[in-house]
Amino acid sequence: MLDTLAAVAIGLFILAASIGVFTSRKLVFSVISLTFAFAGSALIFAVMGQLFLALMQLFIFVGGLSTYLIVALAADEKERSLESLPAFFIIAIIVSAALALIAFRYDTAGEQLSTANFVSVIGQAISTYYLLFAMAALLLFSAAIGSIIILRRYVQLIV
Amino acid sequence: MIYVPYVIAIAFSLAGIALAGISTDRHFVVIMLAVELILLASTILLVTFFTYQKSPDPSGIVMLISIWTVAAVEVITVIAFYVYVKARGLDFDVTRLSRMKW
Repeated sequence: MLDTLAAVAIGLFILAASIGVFTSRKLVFSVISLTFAFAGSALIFAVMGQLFLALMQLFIFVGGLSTYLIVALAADEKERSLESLPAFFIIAIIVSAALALIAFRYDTAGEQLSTANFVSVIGQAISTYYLLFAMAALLLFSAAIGSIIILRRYVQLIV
Repeated sequence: MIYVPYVIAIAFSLAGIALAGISTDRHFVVIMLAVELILLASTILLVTFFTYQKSPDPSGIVMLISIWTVAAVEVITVIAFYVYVKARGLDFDVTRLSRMKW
């Protein structure tokens, strides 16, 4: 019961942070809201008992990607218009409510489901699907190289 | 023991908010951040289904790593695109981005 309450509280925190992404006038505040959403997801993983996964989420998303985004967009002074905010809230409420209603069709109350350990399965996954992991690494590597090429060419124009 | 439908509802709501943001916002970077939120929602769903099942399937891990990779690649692409648009003096409004030229 306590776990469910904690998960719901963290979930509401994630939803509030995700709304903050679209209601902030400055880009850097949108990214900070996204960082809070990432941190909330790490917390929800910890509540589910997946501590290893929570740490991975913290290191990769909060420590890596969000820091990269914040540093890159911190100098952006331009404020964006929020004229579409009423439409955003209307669509968000309708779509979220409809999707959340679908979620409650998966009623697992009373079922005894075992908690799987992430760490014990990840080794099995890497040995079985090693080619897919290599492809993921290649995709990340090529994106990084392409980004460096673009940044080398254009970053001196804006500094 | 978490009552699983609550977590699923949260993930679905997160995806709904992100979809609303994509359909109403016109700023390119914000749209990409919304896609990040959708990936986050799928991660939460995946971990929930992985955690609360009787026999954990290793292929779920592959899906999770793939989602993380796509999210990381997306962030790298956003920064590169941001620098490109800034350097060329273009607008971030996606309705005004009619072409991309090297």
